[in-house]
Amino acid sequence: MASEAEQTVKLVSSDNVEIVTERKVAERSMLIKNMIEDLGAPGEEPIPIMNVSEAVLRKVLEWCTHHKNDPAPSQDDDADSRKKTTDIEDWDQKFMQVDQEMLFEIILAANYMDIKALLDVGCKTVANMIKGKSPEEIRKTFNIQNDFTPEEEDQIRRENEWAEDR
Amino acid sequence: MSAESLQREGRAAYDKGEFSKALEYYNRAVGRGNPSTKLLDSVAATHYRLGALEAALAAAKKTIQTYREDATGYLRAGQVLLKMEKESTALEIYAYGLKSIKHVGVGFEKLKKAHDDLQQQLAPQKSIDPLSVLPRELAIFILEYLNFRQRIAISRVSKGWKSFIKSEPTLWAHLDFSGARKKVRTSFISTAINAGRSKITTATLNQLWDFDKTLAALIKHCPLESLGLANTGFQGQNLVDALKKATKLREFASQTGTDIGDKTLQLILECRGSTLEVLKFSSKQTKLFFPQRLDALKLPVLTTFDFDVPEVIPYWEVLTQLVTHSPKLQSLRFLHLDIPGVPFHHATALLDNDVSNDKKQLSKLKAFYIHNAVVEGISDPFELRGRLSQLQELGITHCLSLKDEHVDILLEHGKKLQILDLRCTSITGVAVKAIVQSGGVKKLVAYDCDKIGRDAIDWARKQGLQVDFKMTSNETGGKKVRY
Repeated sequence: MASEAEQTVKLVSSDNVEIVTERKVAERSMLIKNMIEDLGAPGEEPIPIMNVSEAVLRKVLEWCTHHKNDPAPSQDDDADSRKKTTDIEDWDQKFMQVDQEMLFEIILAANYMDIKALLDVGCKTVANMIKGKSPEEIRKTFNIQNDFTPEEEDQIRRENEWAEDR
Repeated sequence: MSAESLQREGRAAYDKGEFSKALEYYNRAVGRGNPSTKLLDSVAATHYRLGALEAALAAAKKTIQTYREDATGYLRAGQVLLKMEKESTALEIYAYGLKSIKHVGVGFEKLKKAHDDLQQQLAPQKSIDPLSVLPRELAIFILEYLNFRQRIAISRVSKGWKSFIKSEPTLWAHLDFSGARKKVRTSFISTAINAGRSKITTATLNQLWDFDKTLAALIKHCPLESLGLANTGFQGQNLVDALKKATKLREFASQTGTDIGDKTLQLILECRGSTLEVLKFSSKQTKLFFPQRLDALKLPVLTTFDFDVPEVIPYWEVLTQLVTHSPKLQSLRFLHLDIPGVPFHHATALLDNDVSNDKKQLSKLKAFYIHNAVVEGISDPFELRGRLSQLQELGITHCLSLKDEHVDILLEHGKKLQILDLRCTSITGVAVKAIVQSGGVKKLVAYDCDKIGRDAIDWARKQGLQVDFKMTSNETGGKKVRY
C-alpha cells in the first residue's frame, strides 16, 4: 500500500466531474478528512462533494495545495486573535482576486467543506471590501439599491452621525 | 423685451437648431435677474448642444447651486459628465442630488432612476449583495471583522443591511464608541439597548450627549461586565452611584479623556473592588489620589492592573501604599506600569508585597510590563530574584538605561521567561545572542532598538527565536507606544 504522502483521493463535484488529488491536499477539508476516516481505504471510493461545482472545487483545491503544509491551527489562537486583524497574506490576496460570484462560491464551499482557514480568508476579503467605504461606495461595489426614502435616510443619518467616517 | 419673451425667443431659436442665437437670448433673459430652473437648465442644454461641455457643466452647477432641491441641475450635470466619459463623477452627482432633495416627487424619482441605472452599469461584473446571498451565520462572521463603529456606519447602505444589523444582538455585544467622530445621541443609545438586548456586556463610552443617562440605562438594562471610559470628562458621585448597581462588573478602565478624582476612585473601589478582575487607570492628572483608608480596600480577585500616570511624584508613594495595604493582591497576574522616571528597584519593591511573608509562597505574577522606568545601580538593579523565576512575560520598554548586562541578569533568574519585550532600549546584538542561547525565550520584541544590527536579528530568527523588529522612528519617545 502506498504511504500516506503518496495516496490520492477521488472527488466528485456537484456537476459530476471527477478530480483526483493528493490525500494531504484534500484533507485540508475536515469534511473530506472525516469521510476518509469513516470510509477508510481512500482512492477507491470517489467522494462526492455535493454542493460544489467543478470550477469552484478546482479553485478550492488550488488553495489547499498551496497551504497543504500549513500547521494545523492551534486551539488558543482561535477566536480573539483572529478577530482583530483583517490582514491577508499576499498569496491569498492574489488568490481571492476573482469576481464576486466566485468569491461567494468559495466562501460557501469552504464553509460546506469545513476549511476554516479558507473561510477566514474569504470572509476577511469581503470585510475589506466594506471597510473604510461610505455607504454609497458600498452600494456601488455590490450594486445595492438605496431603498431608503429621504426622510428615513435623514433620520438614520442623524441617529448614527457619531459613526460617520467624515 | 421682458425676460419671459427673451426666453420664448430663445426657445424658438433652439427648436430651429440655431443654438448660438438661442444662447444669446437665454443669457439676456438670465441677465434680467431671478432666473427660473427651466431657464438656467436651458442655458446648460444649449451649451451642451453646442458641444461646449465645460460650459454646460458650469451652467448645470449653477442650476444646482440656485435650486439645490430641484432634480433638474443634477440630471443635466450627470448628462454632461456622461458625455465627458466621467461616469463615476456622474454617479456621485446623482447621489449628491438624492441626498439634497428633501421631497419625493417626479424629479426625485427620475434622478433615482438615473442613479440606479448608472450604478448598475458601473457595478463590477457579477456583483452581489453579500448579506442576501450568504447564509446568516457567514454574514455575521464577516460583519464581526468590522468594528462597532463601522458596523453602525454601514447600516445606511440599505433597509436590508439596516435590519440585518439590528436583528443580530451579538453584533451589539460591545457598545464601542471609541472611534466616535461626533457626539453620540441618546436616541442611538435606546436603539442599541433594544437591538443588543441582554447581549451588551461591554461598553466603551466616549463622546456622549448625556453620560449619566446613558450609563444608568446601560446598567439598568444590560448585564454590563466591562466598562471603559474614554473621553467622558469629569466624573464624580454620579459615576459611583451608577456603578453601585453594576453588580456584574468585572473590568473597569478609565482613560486619559476621563477625569476621575481621588475620592471617586476610592468609592468605586469600595463598592466594586470585591468583584473587579481588571483595573486600568490612565491619567494626565498630577494630583494625588488613593487617600487615607487604603487598608479598607480589598481587591481579592484582581488579576490585571494597568497604571499609567504622568509622573512619579506623587504617585509612587501612594501606589506602594495601595499594594502594601491590600494584602489581597494575591491573584494579580498581569501588571502594567507606565510611570516615567520611576527607578526600577522601586517597582520591584512594590512587587515584593505580592509575595506573602511565607517565603515559600512565590509570586503568581505571570506578566510584568514597565514602561519609561530607569534602571540604576550595577549588581542587581532589578532585585527581582525569586519573583522573576515565575514570570513568563516581561516587558521593560522605553528604557534607554537598559543595557546588555542587565539582560544577562534577567535571563539568569528568569528561567520561565517566554516573552521579552525590550522595545526602545539600548540592548545590542550581544543581548540578542544571550537570549537565543538561554533557550527558554520564544519571542523578543525589539522595536526601535537601534543598537541591534540587522544581521543579529536575521541570525536569531534562523535559530528559531521570533523577533519583532522594526524602526518606528516617528513614534519613538512617545510613551503611548504599547505592547
